[in-house]
Amino acid sequence: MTQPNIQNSSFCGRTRREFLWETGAGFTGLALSGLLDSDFLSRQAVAADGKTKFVNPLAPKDPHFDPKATSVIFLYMYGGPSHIDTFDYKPAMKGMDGKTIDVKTFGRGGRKAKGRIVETPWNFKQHGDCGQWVSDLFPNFATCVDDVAFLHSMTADSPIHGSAMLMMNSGKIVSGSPCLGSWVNYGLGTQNENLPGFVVMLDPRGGPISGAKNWSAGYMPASFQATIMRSQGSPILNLKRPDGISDSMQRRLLDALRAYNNEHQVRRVDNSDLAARIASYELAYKMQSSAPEATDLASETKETQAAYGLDRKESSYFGRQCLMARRLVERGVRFIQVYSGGNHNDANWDAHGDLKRNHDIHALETDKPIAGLIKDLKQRGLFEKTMIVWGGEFGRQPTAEYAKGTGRDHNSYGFTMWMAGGGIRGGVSVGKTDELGSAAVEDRFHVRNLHATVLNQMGLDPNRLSYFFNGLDQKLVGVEGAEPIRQIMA
Amino acid sequence: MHRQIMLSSTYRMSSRGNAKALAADPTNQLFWRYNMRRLSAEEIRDSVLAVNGALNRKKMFGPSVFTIIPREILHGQSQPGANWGNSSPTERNRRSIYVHVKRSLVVPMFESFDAPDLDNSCPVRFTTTQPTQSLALLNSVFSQREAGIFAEFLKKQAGNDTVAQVTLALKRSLQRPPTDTEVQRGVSLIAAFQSQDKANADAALKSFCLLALNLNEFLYVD
Repeated sequence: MTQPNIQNSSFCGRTRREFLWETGAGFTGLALSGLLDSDFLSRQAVAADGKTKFVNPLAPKDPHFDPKATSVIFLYMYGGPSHIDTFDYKPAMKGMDGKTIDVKTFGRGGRKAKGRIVETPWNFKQHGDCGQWVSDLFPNFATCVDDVAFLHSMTADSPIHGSAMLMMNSGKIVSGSPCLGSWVNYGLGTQNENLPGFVVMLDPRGGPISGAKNWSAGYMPASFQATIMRSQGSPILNLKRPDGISDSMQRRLLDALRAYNNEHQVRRVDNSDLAARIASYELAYKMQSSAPEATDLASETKETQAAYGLDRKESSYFGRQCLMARRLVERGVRFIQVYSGGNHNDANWDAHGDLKRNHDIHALETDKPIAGLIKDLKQRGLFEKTMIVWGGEFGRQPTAEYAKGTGRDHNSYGFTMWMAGGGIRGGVSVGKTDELGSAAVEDRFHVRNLHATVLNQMGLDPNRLSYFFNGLDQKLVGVEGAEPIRQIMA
Repeated sequence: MHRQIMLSSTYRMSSRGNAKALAADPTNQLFWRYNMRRLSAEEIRDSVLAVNGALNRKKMFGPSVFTIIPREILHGQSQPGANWGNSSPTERNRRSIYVHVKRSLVVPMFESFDAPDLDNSCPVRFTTTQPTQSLALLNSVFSQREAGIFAEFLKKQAGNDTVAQVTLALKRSLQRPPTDTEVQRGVSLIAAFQSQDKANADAALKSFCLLALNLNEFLYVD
């Protein structure tokens, strides 16, 4: 349940839930029971024997209403994929290549009133029963369009990577706020305590601009931060037992540690932090084996691996990550974000230079894996419960950035994202940009509407889910609130 | 004013609980005792370095230092490793207050132990308990290295006698003389590491040092 908006809490004006975090998600005495929710208490099992079950701040919580989705996979196309060259077909641009026209744009090059048209170098075709236009960049994904809802009229507040990334991830253009995955875990808890509830997987070329700010828990406790998971080697930082320490040796150490800690706790039994910490070592021990199991792709069939593009060098990295994402969903991970692209310039979708070269590379890396993921989720019966989001922090402009070349500057006036699964209607397209794709003109949606939709499908009312901080009931969608995009809901 | 607060009987109370007071005021709103607390993120790092003798207390002031951040964390930067320097081991062993602050690249151990988000002012820190903390204290390169340094320190100060080594280790970690039971448990553990787990003497001592740096009594101040 969301935090009630309590005015009379007894701890520095904060709510009860924050107080519980302050004391380490425990409580300082049984006499507190009168203040606590009964559902919270039913999750406690404090015993002085030191074998207390770990009290997880990420323990499952009820959503506000029946959810359609129980997990989210956000496929983040970092750098800003061009909508004009991918899914937003602009026949009006045909024959206009090189022509200078009046069009208002705002990118890293500043505000401009006119520009030189760059026609898309790719062919567009209609696909599926719904007839969605898709460029040749995505031959595999094009076969999935009947399962996908396209949002062609997305808008955002900033055309600069840093702030736009922060907005797409946390709802604010300045850093310091919790990210979408943190909100989801805050609202719902996680289904599997042996794995993180918020996972981020990065591109091999590096992270995105602003780095860890893009997956930060902001002013929420560290329990809601993302955990970076690698698709090769030891998946999580510090998960691997150090070389030279065998399992039996570590086990012996942990047993001795517990013996010392038990003795220490006997005269401090009212401090449940101590019990929680004792339990957290057991959980850590378990995670050492359960997390690698989740990421072990060797147990997947050759067909499955090929379906995700693992058999081809260009798509194998992102493919591994998508396959890992499916496995994590199966194991109850709530929110997984996979970055396509990292670092700067052509290492991601940020096509300021050679448009064709840039998007050819990144589409080749992601097209097969994404199609594989959608189909795999469907055949395993996970698609209805798993919401997939695709997109970047903004789109790109119809006009060239420089006097020469095909590079497009950033465009937050209008861009395309898509959503699939998790109760989202397939084969639909909402919103429109103008004939050149320079700005959204019909059914304009903002990033906060996208966020509202994600929360809504997960069973959380975006206008009710709040966290008290800095004198305000903070919400992911902001104090003004935002409506989910109902046109794309099944 | 500091003197007035710190010499008051309230401030000097123990954190021991008693049933009557716990029933009447479980959250200690009226300060019938001192609140037991866990060391903060920076205090944990400083305490580890103080216990194993590595802490560079001599140098104060001056430019910030850069601790070692694992490559996989640096990888989250858009330019991995950018603007995070390399300090010498002596510099790196200075107090945590001297560690360079970069908002988008927080030392993982600090983050895990509730160092606040650097974009907001933080009136009171959270104190979470989560398995990433345990994993860090058990498996991290930092913990492993400092446990090794601790073991070397013990061998130098207490010679090769396991009883002396364990006694000194616990004395430094717990800041009190250990009981016979506690010493014996440690000595048996080191013996078992060698006889049952086939570890050599150095590895066995290092693992005991790791344990000493994971104890609740080390992390929690009465």
